[in-house]
Amino acid sequence: MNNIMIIVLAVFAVLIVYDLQKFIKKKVTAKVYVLYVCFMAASLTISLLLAAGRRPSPPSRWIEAIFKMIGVLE
Amino acid sequence: MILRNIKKRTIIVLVAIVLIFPLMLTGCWNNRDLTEMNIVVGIGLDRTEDGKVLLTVQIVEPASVQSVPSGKDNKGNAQSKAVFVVSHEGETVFEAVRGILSTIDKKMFLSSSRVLIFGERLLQGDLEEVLDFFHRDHEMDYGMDILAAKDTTPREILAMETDMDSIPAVYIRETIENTVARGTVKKTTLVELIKDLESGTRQLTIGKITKASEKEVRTEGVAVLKDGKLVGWLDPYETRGYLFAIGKVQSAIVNVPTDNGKISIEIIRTNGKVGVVFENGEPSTLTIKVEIEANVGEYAGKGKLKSQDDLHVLEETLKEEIKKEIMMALEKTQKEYSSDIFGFGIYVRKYHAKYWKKVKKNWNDIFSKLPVDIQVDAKIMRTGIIKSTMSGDE
Amino acid sequence: MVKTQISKIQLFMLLLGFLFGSTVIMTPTVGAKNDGWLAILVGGAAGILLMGVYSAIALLNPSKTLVDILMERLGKVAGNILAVLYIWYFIHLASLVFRDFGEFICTVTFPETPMIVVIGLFAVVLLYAVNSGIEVLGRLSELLVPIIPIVIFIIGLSLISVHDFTAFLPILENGITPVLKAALSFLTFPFGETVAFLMVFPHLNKKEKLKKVVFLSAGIIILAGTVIFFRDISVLGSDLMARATFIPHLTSLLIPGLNVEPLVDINLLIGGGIKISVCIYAASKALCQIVGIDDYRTMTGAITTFCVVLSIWVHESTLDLFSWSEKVWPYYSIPFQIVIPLLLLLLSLRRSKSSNKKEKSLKG
Repeated sequence: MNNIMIIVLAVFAVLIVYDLQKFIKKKVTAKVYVLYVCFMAASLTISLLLAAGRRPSPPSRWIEAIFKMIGVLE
Repeated sequence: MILRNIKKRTIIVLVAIVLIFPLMLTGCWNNRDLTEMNIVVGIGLDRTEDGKVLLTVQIVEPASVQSVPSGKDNKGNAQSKAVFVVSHEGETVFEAVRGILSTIDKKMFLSSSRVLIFGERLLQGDLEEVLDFFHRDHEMDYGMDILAAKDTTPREILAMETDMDSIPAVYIRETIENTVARGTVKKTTLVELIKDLESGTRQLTIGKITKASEKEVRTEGVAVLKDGKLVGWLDPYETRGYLFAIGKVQSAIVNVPTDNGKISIEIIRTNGKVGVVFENGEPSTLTIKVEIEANVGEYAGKGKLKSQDDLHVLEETLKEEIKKEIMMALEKTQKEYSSDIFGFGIYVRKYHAKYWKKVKKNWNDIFSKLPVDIQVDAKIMRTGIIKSTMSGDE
Repeated sequence: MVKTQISKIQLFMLLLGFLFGSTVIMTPTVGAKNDGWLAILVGGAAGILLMGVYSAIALLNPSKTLVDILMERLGKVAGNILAVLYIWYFIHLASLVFRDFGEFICTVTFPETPMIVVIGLFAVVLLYAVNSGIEVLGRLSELLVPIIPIVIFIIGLSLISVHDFTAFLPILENGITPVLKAALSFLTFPFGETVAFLMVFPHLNKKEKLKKVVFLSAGIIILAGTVIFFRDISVLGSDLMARATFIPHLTSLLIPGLNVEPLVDINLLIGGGIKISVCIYAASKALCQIVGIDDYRTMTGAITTFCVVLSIWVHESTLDLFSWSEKVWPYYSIPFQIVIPLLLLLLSLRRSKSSNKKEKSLKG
């Protein structure tokens, strides 16, 4: 747990609170909550990993690997 | 009721905005005030004997730059120096730039640098190595003037105290402007240097700076480099010939001998172009075409300019004179230095790309062996506000 | 619910801003060196055709968004899968533009500010713009996009120090292959990226003008690209141009006695901002359409956050970003920008023909 992680958590907390109060006011369906939680959880996990200095292999590398597998790129 | 609610809300929003503004007003992430910076006006680079980079910077003390001409201020106290000069060694330029901070008080601001002076020993090594920092750093001014110090070191020049201007670097820059107007020094800016160094189609030349006396510098002549290494120097006349050929003379005074005296001709417009003639896919001749417009500036002698024919004769002699200067420069660079500073390579690359690919590596050798064809077209426009010399009337 | 509409001028400006986007700082044709102008013309010609394909799809399926078209032409399963892939593509595109923007600002303007701060602040403003709706984006671009050509013109002042206007010679020094490669880059960045506009086209109030608007904006970009190319190569020369990280920025540095460097930032803010906004709008709208949420605004916050995080995560450094954009991006984009749209066009054409026949046979 370092300083950056705390800042990340704080920023996400603000974002989530801001969006949730809008959702509650609008009385949105459950689908919205599910999608929202998915996106935010993904973002939060990645940013916490980044903040901790453990950068997971990014999608650009996966895409490159796929193309190499097909044989488009060397 | 609703109205009051809205009002309340707007007030809250307004207060929030007002509270956020101060955050924005702090400016950038790490702002630096003028008083927290050392303003660099001149940079000198040299190598020490053991191959390290020796960086010298000239820093302005803004408080001391005054318009009082004498060495004393209003109260009669001795004026403090307007600039101070610091040197530092480092393995790389950047290390030296940061290393200097160990001896000075505030961070350096490099964008304001007006001149960059290279030492002779540095030029004898590879220039590309040290130039990378100036290219890469985002704070550099690409228009800064580059000079090569001969028979002296950059530190000596930057540490020189001059009476002309309280900031020596500004004085140096002004002398370059002046000499450029005389056509005897090439104004080289950082970006030109970078461009030529990379393309390999034209070898580098850098304006020369020497010490004229204890308090004066002289900027005249150029240093000739080959593949980023110093190979020699051109004197002022050769420099002018070289500049005529590449069309970089803004104005110049050319002396033409006549039967009874000398005439100084002021060149007001020039245009120079270099090219290469190809025969059977191989270069056969180098061509230099120069067009000149000039005025008669002074007639030191007893002659008289009577008719158009006199002017034609004068034009012919002027052509010969300029041809001679160009020839001098060309011969020296071909025979002695074998360095294509004229940029014939650029022409070859543009119009004979296939051939250029083949000879890219040894173009300088080919250049040295080619004969040259120089065409000068001179036109004398005016002869001044008098017709004849004082004693010239018969 | 009142259907949101934008006028043809607003769409035109939106397209123009989108196409300028990060093209303003990253020159996609840099691989072709001296022959960049050829690559611009070839890639641009192909780009106009491609944008013609997009507008034809939109015209054959009036007032339907990309998601609707995918569902209708390819069935529910395939349509859904492709729509999800498109959402990913838009998000990825937005995050790449975020990253371009961040890299630029952090390299030349604020070298010590953490990139996440620059991108994050930018994202907040854009989120606000996207939430205001597509009409507001249209009006915004109407107001701001005209600034871009003015700035390009001002940077053109750097030409006054140039005497040699033949710097683009020799032609085809390294053969035709690098030109074609660069042309492909230019086709996929920026022209092919306008596939995101398939989510916006249904909002145009006068459908008959769509083709004209699309072709005109693409033409202007080709013209501007050529002008910018000749400006840059005259000022910088081909070798310096090949080495520069941000070419137009370097050009702007070379104007004697004038510091217009911040103007490049302004261009990027406008162009990049519009590009990101459109991408986020397209992604949120598509997502909400698939799941069946009425208001796309509910998802913009989450998607923007994800874009910002992705933009930091996706590349390690400037060099990585540049080499990836140059090598992988064109091939990665081909299915999204060319293959699927062409397929959709064919399917739409067949459907409309057969329906025409039916009508005729009914009449006959």
